[in-house]
Amino acid sequence: MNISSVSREKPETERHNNAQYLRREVLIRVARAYLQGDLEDQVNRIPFAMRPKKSDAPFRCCIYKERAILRLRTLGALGFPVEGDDDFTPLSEYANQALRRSGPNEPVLTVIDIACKGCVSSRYFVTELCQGCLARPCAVNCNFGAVSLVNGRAVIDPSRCKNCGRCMTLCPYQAIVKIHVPCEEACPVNAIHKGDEGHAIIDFDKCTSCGRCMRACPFGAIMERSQIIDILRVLAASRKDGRKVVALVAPAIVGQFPVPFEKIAGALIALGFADVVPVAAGADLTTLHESAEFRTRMKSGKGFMTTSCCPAYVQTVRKHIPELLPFVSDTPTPMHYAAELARKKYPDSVTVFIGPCVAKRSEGIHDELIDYVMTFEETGALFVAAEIEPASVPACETEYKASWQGHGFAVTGGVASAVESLVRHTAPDSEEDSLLVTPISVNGLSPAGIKQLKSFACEGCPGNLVEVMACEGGCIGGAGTVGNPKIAAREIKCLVAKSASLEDLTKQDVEFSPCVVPERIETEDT
Amino acid sequence: MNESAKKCQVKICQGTACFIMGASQLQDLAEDLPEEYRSFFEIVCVPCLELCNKRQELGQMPYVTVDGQPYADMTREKLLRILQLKAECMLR
Repeated sequence: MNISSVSREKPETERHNNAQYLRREVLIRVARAYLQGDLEDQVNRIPFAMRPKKSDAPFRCCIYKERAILRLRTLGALGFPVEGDDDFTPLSEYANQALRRSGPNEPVLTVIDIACKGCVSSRYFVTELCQGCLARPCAVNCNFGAVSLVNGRAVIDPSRCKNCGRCMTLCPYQAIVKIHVPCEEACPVNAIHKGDEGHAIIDFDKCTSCGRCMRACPFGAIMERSQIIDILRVLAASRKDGRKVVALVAPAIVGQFPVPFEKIAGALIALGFADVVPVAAGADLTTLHESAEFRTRMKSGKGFMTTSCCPAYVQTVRKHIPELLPFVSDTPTPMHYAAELARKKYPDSVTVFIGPCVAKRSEGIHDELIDYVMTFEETGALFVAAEIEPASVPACETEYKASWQGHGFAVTGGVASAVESLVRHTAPDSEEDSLLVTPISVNGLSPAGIKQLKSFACEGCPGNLVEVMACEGGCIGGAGTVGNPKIAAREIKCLVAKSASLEDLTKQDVEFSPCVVPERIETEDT
Repeated sequence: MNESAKKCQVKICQGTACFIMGASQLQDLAEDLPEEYRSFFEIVCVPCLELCNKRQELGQMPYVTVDGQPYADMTREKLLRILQLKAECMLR
């Protein structure tokens, strides 16, 4: 049984537009500045390099505003919150702090208020289609006296307008329209709203760090606080002190770049990582433990259980649906198990999770096994800055064998299928009937979906295993992805079809094995 | 089209820079080519074409070459249009 919580934004416009490219260009420039060895000096020049003297201001009123905004974008790329900026501190000073800080902190997202267009505070707008008619049902029927006729045209007074929308429905010419606020509409938990001056503000008590607003904003005004400087720093340090940096790569990597996984692993090794652990192997461990947990919970009459691998969902429960908390699985996430594997093999290593997810940053900050988190988008930017082409590096074969269950975690339905398969597999015959798994898949969080989840906790659930993915399509639709989701879904399906099952792998007693490390390609050093 | 006539070579750069700046959307472009002239083209996704070195003269990424002729700032719609015009040319 599927519950498609259909999100309101259009995935196509989100994925392929100037805001994405601009964000990526800034990341590439910041990474390049670091790799060339003089981050502090170069970073000051980024806004000017991107908008040189006498060039056009393609997006904003003037080149100075563009540069001011680019300065703040660079700030986000250096990992700082824009809200704390004084307009004055030079980027070089921020870079200096970035090079010395001990680690990331919350919040994960930041809003560039001057990049935000600042929509009008009234959500309804009278267009030129207004005929200034005699009937004027808009003005006559407005309960707040907000609509009047001025010079033959209806006008809405924002100080009186309560955004009820009546005037829009009453106008015989359909001359009144609703103004969309993309960030507000994208957020499933009402955590972002326009402040008094019309600029977007994130309420971090409500925010679940899912990153939907970032993708939806047509002005690119919302950014993640990037950890690329921290990661580049530990990679450089590892060359000197030998402290290994291990990459934990999410199952959603499949289809993100136009090369096989072994090449991506090879490219990460070229970047300076000592080893690559596929988090799909961690997902296998999650599957084993979660299916056992499910069995235990059902036996003790718990009614239903929800998955817990999606950090945005878990935050949503903690902040907005506390009544659902007792039903959420306690099993650690695939990322956590993968970090355990990494630390077992390399006890003093630095762990870096690489995935499609913005919310994972938050989980990473609170999990001491995870040191840093970056998205596929940032990884792509690092490859470009370091001039590493995954297609031309030697492939790195990882000897991990993740099962189809583990690989499937990246798509909606994958976690439920995995847990269900193990529950079935380990059912002793006499108990088989009582442990029938009836899965429900929540495909993308929205206010309606959250209401539905609340009702499960309060009124009962039609199924007994609820898989929740905050992003539509599952992790492959995450806010940190770069690939083509259609191709990603196809490739995962392919991989799932030809992978061994977890049941078979546990029989073979497959253990953690090291990745075969090829000759490291020398890259620019600090 | 005449069987022995040469197919038009279309190369879509899938170097990382082009890829994250929009070429990811061109990966499965062949599927959107109309049936009538799908067979005129051989569409291949290739590793970095290194056209970014000529950014000043060509324009920005992502890049595509059609029978060796480079095109910049490609989107799905633009490329489909270019191929449509090319097909019409080839039919004449």
